[in-house]
Amino acid sequence: MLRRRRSKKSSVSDDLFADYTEDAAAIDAFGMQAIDSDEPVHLLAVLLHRLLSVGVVSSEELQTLGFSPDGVKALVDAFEENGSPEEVVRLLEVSAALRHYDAELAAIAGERGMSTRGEDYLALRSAIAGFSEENDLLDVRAAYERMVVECPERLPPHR
Amino acid sequence: MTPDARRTALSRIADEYVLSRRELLDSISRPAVLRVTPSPRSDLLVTVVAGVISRLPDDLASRFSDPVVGESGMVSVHVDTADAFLAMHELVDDSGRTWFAALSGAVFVDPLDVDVVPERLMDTALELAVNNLNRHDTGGYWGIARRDDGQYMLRVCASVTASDADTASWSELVAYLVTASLATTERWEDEPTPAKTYFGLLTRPDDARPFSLEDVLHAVERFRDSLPPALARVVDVRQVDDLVSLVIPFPAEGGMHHLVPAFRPHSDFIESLGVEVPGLKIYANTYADFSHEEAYEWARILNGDDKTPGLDDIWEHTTPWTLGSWLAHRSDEETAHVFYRGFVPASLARFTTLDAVVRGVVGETWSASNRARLRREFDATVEGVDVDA
Repeated sequence: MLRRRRSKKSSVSDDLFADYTEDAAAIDAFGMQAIDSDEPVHLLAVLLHRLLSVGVVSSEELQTLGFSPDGVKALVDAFEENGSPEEVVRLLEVSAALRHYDAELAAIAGERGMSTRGEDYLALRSAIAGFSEENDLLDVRAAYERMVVECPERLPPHR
Repeated sequence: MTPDARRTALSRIADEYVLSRRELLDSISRPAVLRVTPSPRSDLLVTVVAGVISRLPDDLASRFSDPVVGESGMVSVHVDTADAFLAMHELVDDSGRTWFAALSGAVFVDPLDVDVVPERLMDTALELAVNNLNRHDTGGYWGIARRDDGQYMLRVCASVTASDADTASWSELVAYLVTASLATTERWEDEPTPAKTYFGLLTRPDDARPFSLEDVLHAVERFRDSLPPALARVVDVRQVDDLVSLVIPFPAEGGMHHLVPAFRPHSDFIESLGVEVPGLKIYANTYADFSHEEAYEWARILNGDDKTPGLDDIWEHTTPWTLGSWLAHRSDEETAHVFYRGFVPASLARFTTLDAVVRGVVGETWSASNRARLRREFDATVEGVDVDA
């Protein structure tokens, strides 16, 4: 798959092509190694990271495929942390959870007429997340709705 | 997304607000800034010094000169033969409360032979020498004393107390520090000396109840729990084997760093006495790494040898007494850490508590990192600015 994509670029010089062939072999070898992994998220992460790191795809191209800029950054960060396969997967899952909660919390802020910039928004995020954590609620909207009823004083005032 | 990943994400979001508020994080430690009072009560200081000397055995007390009032109102006594001294200052804080500060030290004569060491290497050689001494001697700090006739190594212990506190107990502590200074000047003498003998009595293991790991862990947890809840949740307590540490977030230079003061119940070998003394070892760090040259300079500055104009009469009250000293330690070819190492003999438990030690070490580490942060941020701001333009 990798060679086919690059082979379309007929203007690539022989020298560059030679470099690329070496890279592609490394990518394939790394990919094959990763295929042995029991963890599909890790396998995909390894392949994407290798494609990014040798410039076969750019982060912009990944974004056209539906990967968010934060997701691509999380992928790069997870590998730069140089952890075990389990740790890489864990970091990616935490990043995905952060993105999920970011979207939920931004929506709640919008309902309260609050901008997502500034200290008030940070205070709202922290208050809802803290309440969720204290009560082991993994759904921040459910946590927010309970706060409105049980302890509205912990929420920053409406604007 | 696993439930664990979601919980981690929630915890990070919950911490964001606290970590974004510098002034809130700064309240983890606010060392008291004390200044030399413009009109010190020298008569009172003479009495305080006399109270310290009276707590020494006669054969040691008789070696000290009569108190001398200096130009700034500071009162000092000294031992000519050992080149040791005790200086007492009166300080005042922002609220007007007055404090006593005791400096007990000893100057070492002829540390380096100027005929052997070229003058241009003298500064470097002295810096390396005092840095190495700070690595091994945790009972005070070593610095460089500059006199008209040359440069010497200086060992200093310092302690501060509010003047309306229990000065009787504090005087006993200062007497201990004075004895330690004298014993250190005599450590290379083969024969037992009165100072070495008395210091041995003060630190003898038989009477000292060692700090237990449980005591230390509880003291560190009490410190964390004494913080406002928002701060307590971002400060972590960890225990690995017999090492108990606090992990304290420290925002600096656009990123989040961590200070990790750590405590280990352990015996220290006191060379001059030839005995193991039970106590508490202390390890801490500044938030950043430095170049080798900067690290030596920072160790010197943090040990109190700061040439910044206007700082001569300012004290930062951090530790209950000088528990240890800062030293530079190479981490690789280019960078070095600046470490704080200290030791509290178990026998000193009668003068203070583990809670005060933990609070003091956090204060020392926080204060040191804040100074380094301010300097680095200032340097980064003015970098490239031509002040003559």
